[in-house]
Amino acid sequence: MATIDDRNANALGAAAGHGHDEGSYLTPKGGLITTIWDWATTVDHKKIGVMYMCAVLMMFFFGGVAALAVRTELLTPVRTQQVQQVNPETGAPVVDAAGQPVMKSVTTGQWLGSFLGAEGDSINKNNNLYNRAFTLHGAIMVFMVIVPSVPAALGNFFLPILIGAKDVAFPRLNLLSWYIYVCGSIFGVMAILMGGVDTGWTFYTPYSTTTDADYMRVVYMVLAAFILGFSSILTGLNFVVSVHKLRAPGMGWFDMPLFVWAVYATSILQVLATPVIGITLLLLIFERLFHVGIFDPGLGGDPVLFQHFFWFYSHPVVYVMILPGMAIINEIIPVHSHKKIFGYRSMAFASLGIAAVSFLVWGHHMFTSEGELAATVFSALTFLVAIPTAVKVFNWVGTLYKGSISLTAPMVYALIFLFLFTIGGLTGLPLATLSSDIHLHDSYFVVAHFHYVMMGGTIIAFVGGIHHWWPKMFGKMYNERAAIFFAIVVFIGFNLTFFTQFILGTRGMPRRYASYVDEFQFLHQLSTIGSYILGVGFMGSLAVFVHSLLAGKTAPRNPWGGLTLEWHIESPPTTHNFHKEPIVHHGPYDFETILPPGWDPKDYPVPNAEAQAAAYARALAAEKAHASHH
Amino acid sequence: MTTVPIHDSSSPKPAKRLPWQDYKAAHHFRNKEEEFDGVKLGMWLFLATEVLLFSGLFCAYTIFRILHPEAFANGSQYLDWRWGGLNTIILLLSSYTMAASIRNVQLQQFARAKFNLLFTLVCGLLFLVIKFTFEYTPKWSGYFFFLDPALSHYPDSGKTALGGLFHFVEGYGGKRPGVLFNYPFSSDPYEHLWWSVYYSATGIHASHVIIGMCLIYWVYRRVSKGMYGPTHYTGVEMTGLYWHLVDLIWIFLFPLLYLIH
Amino acid sequence: MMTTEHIASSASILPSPAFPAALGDIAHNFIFKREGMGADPMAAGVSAVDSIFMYIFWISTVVFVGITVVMLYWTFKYRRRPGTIAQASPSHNTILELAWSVVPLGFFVYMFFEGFHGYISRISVPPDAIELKLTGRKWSWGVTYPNGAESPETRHVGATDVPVFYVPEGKPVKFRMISTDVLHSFWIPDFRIKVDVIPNRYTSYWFNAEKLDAHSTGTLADGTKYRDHFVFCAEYCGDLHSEMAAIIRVVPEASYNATITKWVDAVDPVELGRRQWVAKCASCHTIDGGKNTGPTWKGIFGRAVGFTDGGGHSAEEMSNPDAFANYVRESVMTPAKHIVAGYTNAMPSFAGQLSEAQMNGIIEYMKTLK
Ligand code: HEA
Ligand code: HEA
Ligand code: HEC
Ligand code: CUA
Ligand SMILES: [Cu+2]
Repeated sequence: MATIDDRNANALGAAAGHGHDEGSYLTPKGGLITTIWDWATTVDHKKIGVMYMCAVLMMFFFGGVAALAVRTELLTPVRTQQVQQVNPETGAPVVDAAGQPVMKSVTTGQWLGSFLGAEGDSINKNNNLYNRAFTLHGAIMVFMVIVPSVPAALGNFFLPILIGAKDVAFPRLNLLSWYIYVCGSIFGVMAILMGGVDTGWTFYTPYSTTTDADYMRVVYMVLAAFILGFSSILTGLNFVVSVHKLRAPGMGWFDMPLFVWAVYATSILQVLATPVIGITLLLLIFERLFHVGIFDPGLGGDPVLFQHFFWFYSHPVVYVMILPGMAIINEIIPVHSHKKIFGYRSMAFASLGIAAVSFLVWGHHMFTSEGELAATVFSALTFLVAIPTAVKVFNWVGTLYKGSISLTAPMVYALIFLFLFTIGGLTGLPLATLSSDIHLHDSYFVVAHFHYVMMGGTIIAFVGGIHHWWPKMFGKMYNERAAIFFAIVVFIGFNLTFFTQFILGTRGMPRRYASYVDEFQFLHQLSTIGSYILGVGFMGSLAVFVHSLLAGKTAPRNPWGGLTLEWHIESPPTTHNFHKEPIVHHGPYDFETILPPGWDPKDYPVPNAEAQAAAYARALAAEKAHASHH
Repeated sequence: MTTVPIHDSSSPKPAKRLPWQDYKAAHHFRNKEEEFDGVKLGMWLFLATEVLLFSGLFCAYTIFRILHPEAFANGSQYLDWRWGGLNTIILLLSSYTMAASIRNVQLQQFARAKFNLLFTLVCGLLFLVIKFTFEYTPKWSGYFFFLDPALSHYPDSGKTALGGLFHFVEGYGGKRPGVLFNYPFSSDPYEHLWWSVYYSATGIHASHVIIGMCLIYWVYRRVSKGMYGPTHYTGVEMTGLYWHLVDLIWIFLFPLLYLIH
Repeated sequence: MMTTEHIASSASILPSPAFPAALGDIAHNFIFKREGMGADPMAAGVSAVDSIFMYIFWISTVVFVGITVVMLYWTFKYRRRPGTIAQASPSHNTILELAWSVVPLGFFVYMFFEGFHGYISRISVPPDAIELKLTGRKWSWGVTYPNGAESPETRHVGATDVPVFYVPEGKPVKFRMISTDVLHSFWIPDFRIKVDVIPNRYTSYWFNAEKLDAHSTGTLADGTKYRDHFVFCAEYCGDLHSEMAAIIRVVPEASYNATITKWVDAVDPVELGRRQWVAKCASCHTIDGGKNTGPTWKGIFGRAVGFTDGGGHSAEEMSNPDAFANYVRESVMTPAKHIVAGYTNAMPSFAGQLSEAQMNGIIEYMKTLK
């Protein structure tokens, strides 16, 4: 029977025996320069996590701005018209010698082009800018935001704490991977400053090997993705080893919080899939620099081979994106409903199952370019991935049953996640179906599908996770009503932006179009308006956090009543997280028997509540005494 | 971790305490053994990523071999299996000395360990020298090293470079990848693809040899400083694993490129 | 001679149908906006796609609404009440968990097989299909008919004039497709199918155009009814990817035969040149003075030209027919040699893609563009 006893509580929260008293990891170690140097050279997983979080949010902002630019261009389609020339001074129509009116062609609806003074000029210039904008958006969002988001930011911070470790297995490697990330991002930004690239985030050959032939920027962008891959491999490797080797005594594999399971599955995917994109991008660079011809049809190479290589990585990577999102939901839902997660084991195995099957389905991105046999096999396998995902969705909903649900900001995000991710997942089904995919492929239906899963899934979970762990990370509460309000703004804006795109897609709107025929305009306009609302929502959330940092109330150790190890320790944690190696005596979700540490037994009448509270209070007192002793 | 008894009791115990004797695991590991296991697991994962990196190249090789069998049959004829074979032997030998150096460190035979590491380093260098002077250079440019036995098969063109170190052979060079290909006597329009695959695969492998050599040099320095010993030899062991991988990949590349026609 | 219609809107392409009564039809029409293609032979292919899509749509809707309702209901019903904890309930249930894995699997298996059948029927080309050759290039589509004809007709769609391809109603038509540069993808949304167009490899695309019945979107000059369908390029291919459209015009078979015969009947060089422009050059060169990727052809004969490398030709040289002809020829065959000032090296070489007669036609056509 899982209970909390002195030893346990002591180990988890209090200092005993371990010599020195440490302050919060956030306490500055001296003046400004010293502090900056301290952060820049830190091997503390928490600081690295926070640095990742800042970088990722910054890139998210840039990617979001590019997205809004994309949407603004799509507000109006590009049109050319013949109009009669008029004399600018008199306003009189110009006529030629024969008395015929002189016509000129006028181009309208070019928003991006107007920045370069290309308005009414060349459609190409405008479209070219648009193509650079969506490539920028896609590449930033995929390589610099969503892949590192949850694992590198929240995972770095919480994975070691959740398994009761002082740090990740290779702290210096961790710092290195942060610098590699920065270096990769710099290459990416450099490519953008040099004019940007217009390949799409998929870099399909032979377009990507021939466009901007005289410039290096495509090489830089590809190099950026290549370097970022290294960072991702190192993070994944670090986590796998940490989970294997650094779990606290008493924590068996099936005592791990599900966050850890899902991040573990993600890490395996990262380690195994990323090298393949590595070699692909390397060959792409060779192709551009030396024209080796491997992907060049003109030299006997095969452009479709590139697609196989690319998706062999990039499909697993979509699960690298969603599994950590699921990981966060795995924590938020049980904690905020004070309910044991339904089907723990099936959840853990579902994570691994998704990871395993995801290697076998890459061909579903190529139904219109690969052979029939391959298409058939890949279609069948794709449906298999949907099963473990379905299990997860049902388990989350099942967890709510007979819970004690508190509609906190993180919980609102979790519910939004369930809503949006289910739509995103279900719309994956017609894409996996052969006959409907040959209609929907490369249409806005696909765009809507992946925004529902990536943005509505991962990003919402990420932002929800930040809300969930914010008090722990920074020791400050935020204004919850405001947070919920902006969550709802995001929800409304999101659906307006992307639900319309499903209909655009089925009706025949291709993706990566700078312009479109008139019948699509109404839906595009709705979508653009939605994206502005979405932007306002995110800016609002950002403001909520800034406000919290500046004027937030001090956070207690355990604001939500969680049972996993991070809720036993101080907010914010001390440098070594635990004062003594924790020993785990109860499961992560034993809400029916364990009093959440720091909670009043009257509010939480579990059997033995008083005794548990007393044990916990003793441990805390010991910690206090210990602290004042020094 | 296997603890190795110190047989070599005859060798005098160093009077000064060496750094390895005081080595403590990083604070977040419970002890040295766990740390060693962790690092080893990490290393194996990293090796897996390396294998996957090359598997992409093997895939490309297979696909193009199927698409253009003639080009591949033609191209591979220009590779001399004797150079490839010699390099294989060199790498195998170096793998042996690498393994031996780990054992030496475990047995506190530091002088031997250092010798074996140096030997491995020299083997790596030899491998690269052979690759570049006897294989890449003539094929790419037509210039043969003056000691190259193959030189005697060709008429002397009289053209030399680098003060006579390299002799030019008419109509031999130009076996380059992709558009750079300009070998005049190629009998298949796609032969450049074979060279693309050849240079990509062996080039990326050669870069791994260089990285491995850097690691070995680093380990050599640390062994000299007494950082490794029977109770702590993580760095040597990991470098060894890496070097074996470099060797292993060559073992696959050699038959695929040199022996299959 | 020209049949370019300036219709920016396609709304007029689709006639308004009788408003369908059943919910399924409403949803179907809303999703695909597919009015009026009812029960014609073409529906065989289209309905295979639409029916499986609608099947998935309804299953998903039921599942989704179920999940959402349960989720919201429980969130409300089990909201936190101070001083209480969650009620006890089993934390797993093997039968339930198996059920919700196996039941979806059943649906998925059905989806897969339906999709597979539909797909096979959409890609197996009937042996009696008329074969047309289709070329995709940056950024236009070109079709060559069995008799060698190429379409000279265009329609204004969005920002550009796009070619119109005639096909006979109710007959299987196959395109043998190839790209001359990068990847493109040939998509006719109304027919629910797209296939990638790849350099150095033929791919094929076929459909069975509907019978016109009562559904037409316009009438030709001779009173024949026709129906237009959009063609879009669905694989990203660069600047004018979104302008790389075309029109498939379904006409009665007799009219189809007459039209393509008319198109090959001996044409004068100017007309031949104009057709080349429609098919190959219009995406970059205007004839009305408008600026585009390339310089306009309006007044090109006799217009001085300067190159980025400082060279150029004077107006006199350019009005000498022989010098002009050579200049144009060189510009088309080796466009990278001299770049007109103010432009980039964007023009592909057309060496091997134009016959002598066609080349001559282009030159003659340019001379008419005063
Ligand atoms: C977070 C990322 C993420 C996730 C999780 C998914 C999940 C899925 N995706 Fe998605 N996908 C992308 C990101 C993602 N995708 C991206 C980025 C692209 C486009 C890339 C590009 O081209 O730029 C893409 C494109 C894409 C395609 C290619 C489309 C095309 O270009 O033609 C396909 C085709 O099969 C597909 C399928 C699926 C399927 C079947 C799932 C499944 O995993 C979904 C499973 C979930 C559910 C099914 C919902 C829950 C289940 C239930 C509630 C059970 C009950 C249901 C029933 C009984 C019906 N996706
Ligand atoms: C994680 C992935 C991700 C995310 C989050 C988004 C977010 C958005 N995307 Fe993106 N999108 C992609 C990944 C993503 N996208 C990819 C991979 C492609 C394909 C590219 C290609 O074809 O090559 C694509 C393509 C794509 C297109 C299609 C372009 C085309 O095919 O022509 C469109 C069009 O509407 C679009 C719109 C949007 C919009 C409006 C948002 C909005 O949701 C953005 C809203 C966000 C903001 C406005 C930023 C505000 C942020 C802050 C203020 C800081 C936040 C701080 C806190 C919350 C604490 N995207
Ligand atoms: C992809 C776009 C593109 C296509 C398609 C294209 N061109 Fe061009 N063309 C250009 C550009 C850009 C230039 C200016 C740069 C240069 O001189 O190469 C140009 C220049 C020219 C010139 C010189 C113009 C002048 O003002 O002196 C001629 C003649 C010409 N093109 C003919 C053709 C013909 C004929 C075709 C079709 C068979 C064609 N082009 C198709 C982009 C294109
Ligand atoms: Cu052609 Cu896109
Ligand atoms: Cu996928």
